[in-house]
Order: sequence, then C-alpha cells, then structure tokens
Amino acid sequence: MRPLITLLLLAIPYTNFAAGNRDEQVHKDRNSLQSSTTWIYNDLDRAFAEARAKNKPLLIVYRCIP
Amino acid sequence: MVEGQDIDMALFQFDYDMSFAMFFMNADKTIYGRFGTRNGNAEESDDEISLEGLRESMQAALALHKGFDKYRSRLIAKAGNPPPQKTPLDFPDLGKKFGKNVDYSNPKVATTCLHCHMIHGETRKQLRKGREPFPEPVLYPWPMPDTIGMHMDPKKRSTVKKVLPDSIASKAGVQPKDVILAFNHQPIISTADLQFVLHNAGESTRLPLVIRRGGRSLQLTLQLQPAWRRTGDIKWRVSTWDLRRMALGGMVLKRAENNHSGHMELEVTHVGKYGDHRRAMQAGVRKGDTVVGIAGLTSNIREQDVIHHILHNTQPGDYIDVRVKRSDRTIDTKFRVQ
Repeated sequence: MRPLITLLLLAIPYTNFAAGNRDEQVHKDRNSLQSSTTWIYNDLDRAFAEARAKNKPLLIVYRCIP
Repeated sequence: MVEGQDIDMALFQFDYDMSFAMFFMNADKTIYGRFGTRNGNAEESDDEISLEGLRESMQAALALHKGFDKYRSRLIAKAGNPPPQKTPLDFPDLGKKFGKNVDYSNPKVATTCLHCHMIHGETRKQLRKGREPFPEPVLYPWPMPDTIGMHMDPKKRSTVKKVLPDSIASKAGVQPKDVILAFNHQPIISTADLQFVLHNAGESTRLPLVIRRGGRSLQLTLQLQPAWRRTGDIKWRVSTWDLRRMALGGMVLKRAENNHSGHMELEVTHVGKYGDHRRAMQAGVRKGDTVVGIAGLTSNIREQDVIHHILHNTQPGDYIDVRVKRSDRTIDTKFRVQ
C-alpha cells in the first residue's frame, strides 16, 4: 500500500538539453507520466481530493520538463 | 492541469532558482515540510541532497501526519506570508508572454513553459523599475544554513555535519551531529525547511532552535546579525544573470584566486553580446579583461558585493566608471546601468 499520495507538477524547462530533441522529449515525458500508476500528473485538485478521501499525506514534486 | 505558470505562490513557496522541489502536505494544504536544496556546488551535487536524506525526511513527514492534531498549530507558520502576486502570470511581462498552461500543440512546446527563476527576476525588475531598494531577502533568497555557519549532512533529514568557527551557529552552541527538530517553533524535517525559516527571518532576530543531542533535547538561540545573509553565495543562481544585466552591463566576474592583496582583481569570464546584456561589451570590455575598479570600488571583493553596491547606489540610466586591465594596458570606460 502506498503511504503517500504522489503528485508530479512540471514547472520549469531544463535547459541542458539538445534543442532539436527537446520538444519531443517534453511530449514523451508527459506521456510516460500520464500513464503512470504511481503519480498523479498535473492534477492538484484530484490529488488533494484523493488524499482527503484516504486520509493520506501528499508528496508533491515540482521539477523541470526535460 | 496545474503547471508552473499557474502555481499558487501563496501556497507553494520554494527557492524558485531550483529545478526540483518537493512538498509534503496534508490534504487540508498544511505543509509538513519541503525538500530540495541547492548550494551551487555543481561539482559535488552529493553535497546537496541524497535519496537517504529524502527517505528520512519522508519518514519525518509521515510522523507529523500521524500526530497531526498535536503538531497542527506549529505547522501553520510553514505556509509563509502570501506574496503580492497570486501566480507568476500576475507579473505583467510573464502574463504577456506565457499562457495558463504549457501549450502541447505548439511545435516548440518547451518555449511555452515558464521558468520558475523568472519569479525572482520579475520581483527584482519591478523593484528596479520603481526605483525601490532591494530588500535583503530579494537579493539573497533562501539562504543555505551554511550562511549562519551550519553545514548540513545531505544523507540525513536535518543533521548538522560541520559548524564553522566564530559563526552565528557556533556562538549559539550548535555542534556537529546535532539533529535539528524545530527552528523558530516550526517542526523541521529537511535542510529546505531550515532555508524557509531563514528566508523569512529578519535582520537582527533571535531564532529559537530545538536540537537533539545524544538522546536529549536542548533549546538554543541563534542571534542573527545585520547583513547576515550577504555571506551566502548567489553566483550560481540563474536569476543572478539578470542582476548582471542591471548592474554589470552583462559581465560575469570571477575573483582572481591568487589575489591576496586588498585590491580588486575580477576576471571578466563572460561579456553579454545581445540585447540589454551587451552594455559592457559596447563600452569596450572584453572577455579575459580584469576589472580593477568599478563604480568607485577598488577593494578585493566578490562579484555579488559589486552587484549589491551598484544596485543600492545607482538608479537605472546612471553611468558607472569601469577600469580594466588588458595585458599591460589600463582602459577606462563607462556604461549605463539598468
């Protein structure tokens, strides 16, 4: 059982990435996270609602897009 | 969809120069703690955070969750005071440039994602435009505990690894291996939590510190001194780039390592070539020059001390004099600060 509700929020571009691939990587990154069963992706309201319903704490992560 | 550009800045306060930040929260939006720290030592990133430290912080957050009713009143202060802007889009320049969401239909999707460091940058731009002085927390945000003499162990949740002699922490009686349990009455579960307290602290404040040492709890008091934040390092910060535009005409300056004299020797490691970052270049300064005098300063100080002086002693549009050495030549020039 997961002890925490986990939520990933994307905030800021990570600049050390080859410009040509970068936009493609941004899409790939979103696709992989949206299909994750571990993370709630970019849906803060759902994360708080789920935490409330299950009486669990949240782990919220802000990180750069690739 | 919640993304950085629409971040609730009253709720999610962290060091916006970082590319990674975590919050441990209750469903009622009470913050148990923050995680994620950067000290700018890129060559030793293990010196900043670790999975072991994250594990300990998570365990501490779970303990706070379990005892929530007991800790609730002390956790309220972890939210901080709301800033004037509700979201980054309330800054006029950011509101014009970015939408509420990242635009995944745009072929250049990465360019539609707001950089969090722009929040620091826009705050400063507005102050400068309004000809207002920069408050110390604006120029020296989110101080590392090292600023007061405590170097934290990245593999632990909030354990002191080293204490610098004659520092604020040393004078308060802090010792290596002390575990910090509370700071300014707030439960502490990470280095980022310590930074939050320091970021919001005043200039000459007394801050109570509860530590665990050898199985017992002790209460200590830190006495902050005026200008205590200035010993911190801001050169690694992305948002310092714009301070260089304002104060240094786009130069990046590095103090000569072997200069033990009292005289200024700041190597020009970069000169901006584009837009408002090229003022120094237009004035004739080149990469590789050594700045030996600027804005009336000639002593052996750091780049950030020069920035501080210029921002507090000039207005946008003022000229400042610069003296550089290039081989055997001394060149005097000037440019307008912004």
